[in-house]
Amino acid sequence: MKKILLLTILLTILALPVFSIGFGYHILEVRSEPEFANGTFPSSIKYQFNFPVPDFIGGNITELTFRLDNGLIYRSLDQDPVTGKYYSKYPELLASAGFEEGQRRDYSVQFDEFALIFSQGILKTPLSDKDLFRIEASFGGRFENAFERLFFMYNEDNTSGVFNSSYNVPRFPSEVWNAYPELAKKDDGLRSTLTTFLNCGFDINLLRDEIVKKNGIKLSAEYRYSPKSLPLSDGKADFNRLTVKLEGALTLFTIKQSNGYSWCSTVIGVDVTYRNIKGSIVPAYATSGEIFGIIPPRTEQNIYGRLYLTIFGPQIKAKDLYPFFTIFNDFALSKGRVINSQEDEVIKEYALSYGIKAELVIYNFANIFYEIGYVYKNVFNNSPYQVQAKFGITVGV
Amino acid sequence: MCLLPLLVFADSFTFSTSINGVSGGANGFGKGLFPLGTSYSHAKSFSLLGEKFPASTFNISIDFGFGDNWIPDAYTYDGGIPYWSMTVNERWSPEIASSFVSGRYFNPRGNLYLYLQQGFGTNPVAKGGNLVDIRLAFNTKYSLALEGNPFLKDVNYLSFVNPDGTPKAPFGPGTTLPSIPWLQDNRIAVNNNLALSTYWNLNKWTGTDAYDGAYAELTLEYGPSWLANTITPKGTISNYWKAYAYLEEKLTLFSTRQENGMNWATMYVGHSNSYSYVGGDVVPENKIPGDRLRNTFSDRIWLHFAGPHFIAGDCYTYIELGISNTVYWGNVVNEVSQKTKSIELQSSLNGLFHLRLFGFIRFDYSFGYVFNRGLYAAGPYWWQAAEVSFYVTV
Repeated sequence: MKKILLLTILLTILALPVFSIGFGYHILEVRSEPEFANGTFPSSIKYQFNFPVPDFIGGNITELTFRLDNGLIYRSLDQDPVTGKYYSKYPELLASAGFEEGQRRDYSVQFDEFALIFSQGILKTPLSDKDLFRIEASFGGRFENAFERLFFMYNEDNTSGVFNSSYNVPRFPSEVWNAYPELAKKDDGLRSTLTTFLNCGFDINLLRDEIVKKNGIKLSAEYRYSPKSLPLSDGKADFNRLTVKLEGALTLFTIKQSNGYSWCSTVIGVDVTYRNIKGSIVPAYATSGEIFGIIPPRTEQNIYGRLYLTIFGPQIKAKDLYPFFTIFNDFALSKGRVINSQEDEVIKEYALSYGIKAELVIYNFANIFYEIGYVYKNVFNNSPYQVQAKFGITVGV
Repeated sequence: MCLLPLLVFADSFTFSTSINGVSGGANGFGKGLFPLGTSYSHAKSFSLLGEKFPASTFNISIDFGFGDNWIPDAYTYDGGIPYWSMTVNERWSPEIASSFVSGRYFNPRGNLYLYLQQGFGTNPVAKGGNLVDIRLAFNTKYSLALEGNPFLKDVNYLSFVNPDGTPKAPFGPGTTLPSIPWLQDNRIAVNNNLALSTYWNLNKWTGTDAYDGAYAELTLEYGPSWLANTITPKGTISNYWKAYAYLEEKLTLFSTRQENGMNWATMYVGHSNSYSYVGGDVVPENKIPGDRLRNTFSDRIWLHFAGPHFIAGDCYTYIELGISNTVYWGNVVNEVSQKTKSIELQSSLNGLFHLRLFGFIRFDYSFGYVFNRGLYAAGPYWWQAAEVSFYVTV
């Protein structure tokens, strides 16, 4: 029944008359995990297609988009499942849960998220290459299935996992996963969840993005409504989330080559996101948002962002073959009640990190990067982290 | 980087993701609704040989998937001897009986395929298009065999280790498994191969999916151990080559159009033959031929009926019905002694119903009736499967 409902929604919308506007398709994000092919193969991908719909307002873009995000990612168990307290603040809870010193608390999540998004642009401005004002509404759903990380039970040195302290011996009472409602084991033995949500949002776009040049400001806001009662939801999510993002950029200078492509350009910018979550059951995917090197504690209010200076190298005989180099400083502030805390714990913590990233974009189908950075202010009075470096190749972006 | 000075004519993207086992129902992953994996590819046309020749294409395709797999249990793990080549007494003798292993495991995998293709000549039948396309390709497959992760209820299995993490014979570090080399040692398998293919087009388009004329393909694949294939302390997991030939003829029976030029009905009859030979002493998992016999020859005849286009040029249905006969013969791949030889015939009737919406959503329902299953002498049977896939080319 539920399957038929989902397919019917999809097929009804597809019965629109077709006009001359073609399909658009974009890959939004390709991610990899270090334990899957050392990060050289992708393990998850987010992409979308635009359906051909006519522009309802002449000169402004109307879009009907289907977005799908699927694959496998790792998450870390940072809060005690029963009380919701952060292990980095209460390290004694690690020992009482049976975790050994320095033991990894990663687990795998295989997920699929779809969203059907309708957006309409309003008014135009010479300051941006997109519409000035855009409103958006969407309906979507997400399925997740969690299990131990890929190399769990690989050999005698790692038979202890997050969910099981040894083979078939659960680490936590399986009914009590207050901090991570999506991880509670169901009758069928799976740690899975299927929830649906409604989103609406708008953005005000005064930003012109021309690959190696960026100027302007963009403000976007999104409100997600994910109560227990939406159809197809299984009750493992009950929250409302408001996200407001501000992006600003200024191109300091550009030097052009004689063939019109860029020789060198420099952009400074700032991205700041404010996120406010209210709800009694908040799954881990609702609070994603991280800065370099650390995932800030989840609280009702989070502000995080990046200040950056990017130097773009030459566009080598094509618009989409160029190197660039970024120096950044990330910041994160977590304020308010800890998400899913059973004791209504209120904290106020901030973290800071900085680093540099060098990247080469190859014809928009591959991206090679090297990133190195340092978390110089950690949360909960913990000492700063070691320097972290990451090298990656993503293909198909 | 040698591509730098080339002109770019056009870009195209193909994107597809498929949902397998929708008919498997609510017990499958994601209630049977969501994909277990995704594949996407990116093609770029450019002029490699100058303006006198057709454009060349460079294509890169990636896919990844996280699903379950099974240990092949019909062959002894050390000798690669098939159980069907033994008498009942041989099968149950103490030395042989312990050489069969079976089990289910979690198999995260990724595949990368890239190629450069160049056309030559003009198709004389269609008076346009390439006569022959030559493709040079490189393929990498990455695969992990790990302890099980149950997608279905009541399944909890350890195939490779004991509950205390010690290796379960015959698996474990430093082991060699000639029959199933992708499961030996640490069970992280990377295998690479090169391929050179030629495609011959001697046909012309007559309607939706329909052609009159012939089409042929000749491919040579080569995956030697030195091509960065995983080499464990006890051996490599790939040292094979494969030759493949395919010939197809199609004849359009009728093709009628609607008033607006879109298809009303098209029917063609097709016939094809293919032959392949897999050589080499270590054949990786993704290249193992049917029933592990080196030679394969098949003959297929089918009828294809494409229904009317509705709404737009890429919304339509088609039905295909065919009979195929395949003969397998020769030595058994991955058998150490190379002493077993066999020959078998498999025959089946296959049907497929396909619905396509805007080219973007494709729904396939297929069924078949297997008359003769070759070496496995059970009686004839029906099967069916359904698949939904999202497929976009821009």
